[in-house]
Amino acid sequence: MSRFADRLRQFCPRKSQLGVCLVLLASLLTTSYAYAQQRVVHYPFGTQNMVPGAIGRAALGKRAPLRGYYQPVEVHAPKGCHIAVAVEGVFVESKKSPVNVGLLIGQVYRFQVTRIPLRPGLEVYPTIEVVDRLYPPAGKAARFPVPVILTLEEIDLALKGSLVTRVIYVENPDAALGGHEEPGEQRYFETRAQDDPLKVADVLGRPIAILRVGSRLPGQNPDASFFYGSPHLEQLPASRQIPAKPE
Amino acid sequence: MIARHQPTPTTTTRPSFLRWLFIAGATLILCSCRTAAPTHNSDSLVHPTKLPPTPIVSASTVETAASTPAIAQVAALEPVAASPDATPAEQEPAQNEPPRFISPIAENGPVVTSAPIRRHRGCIHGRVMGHCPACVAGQVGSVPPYVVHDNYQYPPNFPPIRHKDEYLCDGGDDFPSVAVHKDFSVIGLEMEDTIVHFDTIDGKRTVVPSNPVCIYAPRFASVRKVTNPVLSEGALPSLDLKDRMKLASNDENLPTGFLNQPRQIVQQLGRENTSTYRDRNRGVGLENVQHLRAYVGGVSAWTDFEVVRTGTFKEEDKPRLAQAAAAAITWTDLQAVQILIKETPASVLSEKTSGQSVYRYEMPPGKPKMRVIKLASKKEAQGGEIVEFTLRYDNIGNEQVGNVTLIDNLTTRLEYVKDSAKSSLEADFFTIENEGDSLILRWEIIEPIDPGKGGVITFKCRVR
Repeated sequence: MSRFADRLRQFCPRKSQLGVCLVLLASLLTTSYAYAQQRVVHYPFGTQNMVPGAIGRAALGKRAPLRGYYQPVEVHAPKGCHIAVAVEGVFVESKKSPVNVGLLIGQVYRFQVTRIPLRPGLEVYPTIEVVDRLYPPAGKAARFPVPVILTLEEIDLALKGSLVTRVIYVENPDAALGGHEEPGEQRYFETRAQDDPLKVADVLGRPIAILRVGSRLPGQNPDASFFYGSPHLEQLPASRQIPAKPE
Repeated sequence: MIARHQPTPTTTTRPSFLRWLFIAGATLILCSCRTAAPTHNSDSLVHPTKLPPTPIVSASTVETAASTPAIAQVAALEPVAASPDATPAEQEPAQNEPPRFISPIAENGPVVTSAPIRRHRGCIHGRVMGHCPACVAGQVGSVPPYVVHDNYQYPPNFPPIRHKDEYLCDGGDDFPSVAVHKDFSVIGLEMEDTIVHFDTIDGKRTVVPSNPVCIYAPRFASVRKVTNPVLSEGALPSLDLKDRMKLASNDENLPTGFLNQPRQIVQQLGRENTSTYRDRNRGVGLENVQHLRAYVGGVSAWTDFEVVRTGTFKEEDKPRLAQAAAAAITWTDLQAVQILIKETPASVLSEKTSGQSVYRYEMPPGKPKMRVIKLASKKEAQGGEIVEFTLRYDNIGNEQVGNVTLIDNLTTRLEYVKDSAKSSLEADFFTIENEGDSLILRWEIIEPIDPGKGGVITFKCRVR
């Protein structure tokens, strides 16, 4: 103790300076503690005024394992709908919902949803942007795709001219809610008008993907910007559906 | 000669207690600053280092790890001496084997390299303290491996510590530690905790946690926002409508009175029916594969270990338990007796010469101790799947213990399957609802347990 006091006197020879040193030391300790307690924000800018793809590309620069990784995504639409993916500027053969694809992180993919029940002739063209990835056990990536669910209500909202933004995140198990989820359903929270869904999802968990659906149509000759360059994707077989309550 | 003017120091006589009061006030204000607790780990904690591609782990190692069930290490980790029967070649895979939490992150699996020895200071007496990664991984005082993925080197806790939100963990004793009062009321039992408490002959009540078990089961939710266009549409109504046009004339068309068909049908074309029919159906093979629907009693295939059946760990089980290398070391028979010389475990020297003298060490009485091991039937599960858990508890002390009670506080995402709990020893089973919309499972073993004896409890849970 005396050695520490001697060392302290070398830096603070006068009593008045000793007090200042103690205050500085206390402030340093408290600020470091407060800094350690701070919650890390992955996406400080949110989705406001951000073009599709900007958030995912920003994540690529921070986390190295995201580059070149095809994150399996399972796209759900209402029962009876058909989903087609865009390959080289053309929507290829549509498949019955759900559709499993492997998407690159940081790219924006355009989908086509047709055969909407009770809405004959109407189509929507949602986009999906993957901003993070999962880390499943080896060989189990296709078994645990990220579910992106488009409901009939959201399709109706899009057909009426609204823009629906849905941020899918991995739930924090420590703050998980009870109850069961049926296959094809996903628990969601509605944000207020002044809130950003990405920031809210960042608080609740770890954002993985962003779904945007509006009323934009491709027109007669859609250009490359409509398909966001048609980035490469992997067509995956349908994952095994697990019944919610077997037996 | 020029006299240099030196200013005389002015001394102010302020009371000293004001200075100390100011210091105390500033310290109090600064120390009162608190922010929200972190919800998940930072991404910025990992600074990957580019490495040349150096594949080290063989495919067989990854395959073995993938085929073993989800097993984590026992909680009562103690620094033990290496097994005398294990050769260095056998011990090497156990050190290089990624721990339970370090799951391969790509189809090719991670590459594990050695790193300098680094002793962890967060573990007290080798016990698992909460989510301490080094304790959980059993790397206390051992060689922590580095995980290499996509030619980047990551700390040994990558990726599970960064992404533990994808894992569903149950077991262990998270902070605060569980304590049992004299009236058997339990405090500090958090969700995910699994413990066993027992009474000794001298009236002491002891709590022993189990090992944590983690299952890969990510669950997703979403945040939605609907943005409506800022648009106003309206139609102006007509103020007046005047139609000055009037009908000029009114023509009426009379209906047709009769209709004549001018020509008759000349001929009629028809198709003949098939006169013959040839059957081209061929015989197909018939396979009658009967799948096992259920089993009654016995030990499940995924828990067919000697340590589960009899409570004694054998070397033959080590390859199957290689995924939890720390657990395999801890489950050896050497847990009771340890030889340490200045914190260095003694090594076994084998010679052909016979021993000149035999020393016998008798354990002094009054060393009650219990061990509980928790196993899960699956490493990964989707929502709706059923996972079977096994609790193996043993009296590894040298005196009888009584009032043995096992408590498992299920996490929110585990739903207990009704009437699925089984116990090898006679026990009273209770369930209590917990704050996470799940259950607290409680088994009270009726008979005391003698030294070297134990039992098995199994129950099923549905992943939410």
